[in-house]
Amino acid sequence: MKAQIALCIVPTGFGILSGYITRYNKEVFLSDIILNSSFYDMAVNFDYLYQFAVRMALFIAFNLIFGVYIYKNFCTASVYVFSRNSNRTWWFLKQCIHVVFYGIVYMLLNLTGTLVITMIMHVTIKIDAGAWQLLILYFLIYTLWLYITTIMINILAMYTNSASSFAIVSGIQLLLISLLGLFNTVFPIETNPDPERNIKMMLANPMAHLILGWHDNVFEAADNVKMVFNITIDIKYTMVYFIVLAALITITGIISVNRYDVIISDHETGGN
Amino acid sequence: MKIKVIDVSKKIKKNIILDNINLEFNSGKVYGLVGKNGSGKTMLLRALSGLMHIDEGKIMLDDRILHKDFPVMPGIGITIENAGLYPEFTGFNNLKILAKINNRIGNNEIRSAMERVGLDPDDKRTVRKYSLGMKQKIVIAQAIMEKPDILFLDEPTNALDTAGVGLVRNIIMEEKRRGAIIVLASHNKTDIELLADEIIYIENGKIKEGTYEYINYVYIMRMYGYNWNNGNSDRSGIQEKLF
Repeated sequence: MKAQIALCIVPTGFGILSGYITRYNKEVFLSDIILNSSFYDMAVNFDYLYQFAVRMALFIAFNLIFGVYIYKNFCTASVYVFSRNSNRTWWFLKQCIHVVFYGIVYMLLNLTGTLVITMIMHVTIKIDAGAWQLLILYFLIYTLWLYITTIMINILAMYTNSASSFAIVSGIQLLLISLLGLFNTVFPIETNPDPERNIKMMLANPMAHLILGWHDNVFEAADNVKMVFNITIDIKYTMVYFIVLAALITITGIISVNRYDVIISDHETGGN
Repeated sequence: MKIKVIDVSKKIKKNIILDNINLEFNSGKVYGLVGKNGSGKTMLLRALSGLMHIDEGKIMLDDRILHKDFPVMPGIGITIENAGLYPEFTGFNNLKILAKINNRIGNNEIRSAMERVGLDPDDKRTVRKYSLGMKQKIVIAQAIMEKPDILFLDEPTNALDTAGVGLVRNIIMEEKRRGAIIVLASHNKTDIELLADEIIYIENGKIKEGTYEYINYVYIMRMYGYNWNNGNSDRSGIQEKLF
């Protein structure tokens, strides 16, 4: 069922992306496509944030598919898996590596889909000077985010169930997106002549770091694209922030799987 | 090989699940674990295997301590009531997934374990489509496939037909002869009567001797001709005649 839902969502995602590509007439730079895939034209007003939430569906689809990747071993066959498993830490780390691998594959599939749609629309893709650098940044940031959220769902599911944990983590992501709206009204950035203090506050919200178009370094790389908004985040800060979050979630996972008592055999059915 | 359970206690949400348990299990013997539903039989098996942490006491395998020297009891085969396998895979693939965790055995051993419990390794049906009896058999196959030194079996003859019950009883005796420590939790008095060398009666998480249920159990066992001796009795002579 989840795979079927994902199969529906992924083409929808391609469709959403292709909608943004249609603005280009005959040719498009690869950096444009990457920036479009990473919410380039995002502002902190609610119309844009609504679009942000809708376009996040593409990434939440990954959460839906892989939110049970580790947790499924804690379900029906948990007794038989963990009675054989003498090193849960190593086992968990291997599962985490698998999630990272699938995250990269998923990102590649989405990007390939977007490129194919672009070419079908007879738009020529030009590879500009900073495109590769931008591509690496895009993959690093989004794979880290997919990893953080997906592992979080898997860990929470061990204590609740897969549906609740998915709802909690998706809800948190949507709440964080809506909280960005505060920087339109309560702590204005775009209309503020000195937005530095408010930008620093905004940096605490991880969703702000997903918008590559808000990173000033990105525009140094993609010399064909101009910065749209008066928001500048250092890409190094984003990388450190996401790596720390990923490390914290991995450590939490290691502690959780080692402390977990295999008593309830299946949270999904209530089996004991 | 010897398992020693020393002063083991466990609470879950203020409920005492295991209360100061002291037991000893030796190689080549079958221990019948009996008691009412919810008495703590399955919890004791989970604690013995290391799947569940204990609050007090210690569980030792020879001179090594569980959760200190090793996280789970090494070399065990276990079946737990209601715990199934991956429903979306065939029986063979389920066993292959589990065998891959330790990489001790290959396809031939998996096939042989399935044939031992009377299942066809080439059956292409997924476990979801198995009957209750077949599900029970595949779970027993996963427990015995790696030839474990210790077997914890929770209601292994549940849902089996007469032939299946006979097959599983024979397997238990074969594993006993191989030298495995076998702890058999069962409501089936005939299983206990035929297979157990020693009987452990558990009630409200405590090992009981002298309660009404215990005396009643002893009485029934005597009706079956069980040579009772303070709850422990050597029945290997009778078993050799039967199997």
